[in-house]
Amino acid sequence: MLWLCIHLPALPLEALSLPADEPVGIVETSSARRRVIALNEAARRRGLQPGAGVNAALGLIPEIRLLQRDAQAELQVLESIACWAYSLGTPVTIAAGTLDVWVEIRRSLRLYGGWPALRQHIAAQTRDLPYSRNYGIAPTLAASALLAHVGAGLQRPVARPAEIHAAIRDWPLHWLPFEPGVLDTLHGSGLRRIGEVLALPHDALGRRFGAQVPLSLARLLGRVGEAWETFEPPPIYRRRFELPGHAETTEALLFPLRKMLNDFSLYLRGRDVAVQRFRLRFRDLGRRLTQLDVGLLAPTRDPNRLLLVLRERLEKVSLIEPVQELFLEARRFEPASAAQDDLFQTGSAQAEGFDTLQERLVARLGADAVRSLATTPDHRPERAWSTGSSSHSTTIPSPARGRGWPEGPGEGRSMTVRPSPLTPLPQVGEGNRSTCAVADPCPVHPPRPFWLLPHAQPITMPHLLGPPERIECGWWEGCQEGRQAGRDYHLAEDPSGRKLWVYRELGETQWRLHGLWQ
Amino acid sequence: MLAATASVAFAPAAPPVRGAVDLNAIAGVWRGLGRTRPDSESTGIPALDQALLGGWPVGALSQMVSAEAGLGFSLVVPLLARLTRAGRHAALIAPPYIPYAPALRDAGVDLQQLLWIAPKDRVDALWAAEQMLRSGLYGAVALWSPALEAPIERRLQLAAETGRSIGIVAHAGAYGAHSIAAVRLQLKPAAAALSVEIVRCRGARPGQRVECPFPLRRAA
Repeated sequence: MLWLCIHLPALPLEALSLPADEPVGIVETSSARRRVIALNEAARRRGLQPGAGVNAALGLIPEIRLLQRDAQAELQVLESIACWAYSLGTPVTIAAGTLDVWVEIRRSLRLYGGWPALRQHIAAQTRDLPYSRNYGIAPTLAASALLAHVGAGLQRPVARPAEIHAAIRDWPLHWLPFEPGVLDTLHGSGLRRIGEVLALPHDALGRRFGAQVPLSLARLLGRVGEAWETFEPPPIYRRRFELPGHAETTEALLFPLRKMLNDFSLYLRGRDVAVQRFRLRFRDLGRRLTQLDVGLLAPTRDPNRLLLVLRERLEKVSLIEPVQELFLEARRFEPASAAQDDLFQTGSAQAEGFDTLQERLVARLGADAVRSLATTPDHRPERAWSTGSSSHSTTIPSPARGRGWPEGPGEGRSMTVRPSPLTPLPQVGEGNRSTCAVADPCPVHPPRPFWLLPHAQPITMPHLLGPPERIECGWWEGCQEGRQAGRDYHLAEDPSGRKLWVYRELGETQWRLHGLWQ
Repeated sequence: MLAATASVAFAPAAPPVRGAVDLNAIAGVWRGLGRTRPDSESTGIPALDQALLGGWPVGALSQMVSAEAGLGFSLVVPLLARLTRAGRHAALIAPPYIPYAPALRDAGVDLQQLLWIAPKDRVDALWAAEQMLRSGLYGAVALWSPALEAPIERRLQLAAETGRSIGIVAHAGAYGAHSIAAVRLQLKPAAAALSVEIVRCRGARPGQRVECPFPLRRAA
């Protein structure tokens, strides 16, 4: 075995999303003593050291914000990292108490063809990981963890068990994974370095401290096998996130959300899947749950894209009370498309950008506000067009007239007899052929206006410019309603010179405006 | 700079002077009337193209003002047709009437590439216009809106510049006092034509009038 250990030293602080500009400390209670175990940069700059008591911390920085350590949040992050670590190798195991994640990389080493290539791969993969981390590589779990805790890094991997001794002997002995009491006794005996402890006779150590100590030293050096519990990514992703303060605006939710989505994308990358639908819920101080179901046009695992869509959705939400908790849940996953981590972001990149924009438009304006246009094979002007959902618009090809009787009720009905105009419409404006010199593949009807009125408006007698075009109404639908059988459409002009498309129902005198040309 | 200008202006055939500047590469240099702007898309109407120095400016806002809502769409349709058939996307935001699909298809517009945005209110319309212009994914974005306030117009102008997109803003009503649009057109219906007055066009003489023939093209 060859283990890569990823140690997250600042996780108690980083697991909670906290503002960077005010001093914050994480407090842990152990044996009736409350100690500050982690501090952010702002608190450290004021001279406070990790390990100080709560009273000392408050004495030094009165306005410091002290938060209880959240083991649940830390475990969630460790699990996300473990999910992601599957992209480096298998098996993966975690230790929540020491904030370590291990992944076995012997086979990856062979796959990548040596240390430099593997190191480069790990560095590239972890570049956008939002947690501070240390690495250690050794053939045993304990040795790799020890190397990670001292901050050995990726540069000096220990490949064989025989090399472990040389790699760790010069470090101070308090890095050994022993109880504090054992370490104190060893220190009190005048020992300072790990090498000095390793030089002691093992049976003597066992008699002094119990069998556990020589056993863990033997495990550290790879002389005795180690046991571990393999971590499996859960099939359903469910995360709860408690906000350290209360978010009073949806804007304030974005920061914790970005963190949640980053963890989510680690999970997705580890399982090599993408997500298309997920659910975000948030609970406010009044214990009310608000639920947002988010759907995307195409599966993705890009946290920025997920955040963009969520932001548009959140802008529509008004919070009644400050939000306390966030829940993220995804049950169904889609296979990730190979193009997602394309080396050369080429053709697909623009298409994805288009999808992203479309999703944001739909998220903010609503699905019915983002429309695509299509023509429908129907000769009645108000039915000859349709809108579709923008994501998969299907334009019905120009209909071939004369298909026979309608096959049944529905949109795709086509009528065989559409009377042609009684006489051809005159060419208005001779030079206009060049204007719209577009070869139409299927000239099926006289020109139509670019604008159609949603409802025809009654108008007074217009100045008609051409002969009528008779369009039969849908008598097979309208006869029960007593509607007339046809309309005569004309090109007309109003006093200002605007070109109108007007009609008069057969046997009526009222003119109606149905379209505008210009 | 001055020396370089002189050398190009008076002796264009001479070999390039060391350190000479390509005048065409400098945006602010006035190049005289009657030239075409390199970054413009033809309107599809030769007379209008000539007056606008090539057509609709790319990466800028153009403004169309008319007394009646919706007037001027026929000037935009040829642009939509060319862009969509070249595989680019185009969008109509908050049009006053229904953009009639059969007519657009007959004019050569690829309907699959055309998006119709029908927002609930003006804020959403402006937001959508800005997003689409800025994205660079849309060749042209036409917005129907009441007259724009100066800060909003500037935002849209910047968005169009960023996305190298053609922004067309149409509004009905009185001709506004001030606008930063690169092209400003005032439209009036006329007999068998649409009368277009070029109130402003960057680099061209203002006040020209072009009669755009009524775009009816065939009988049956």
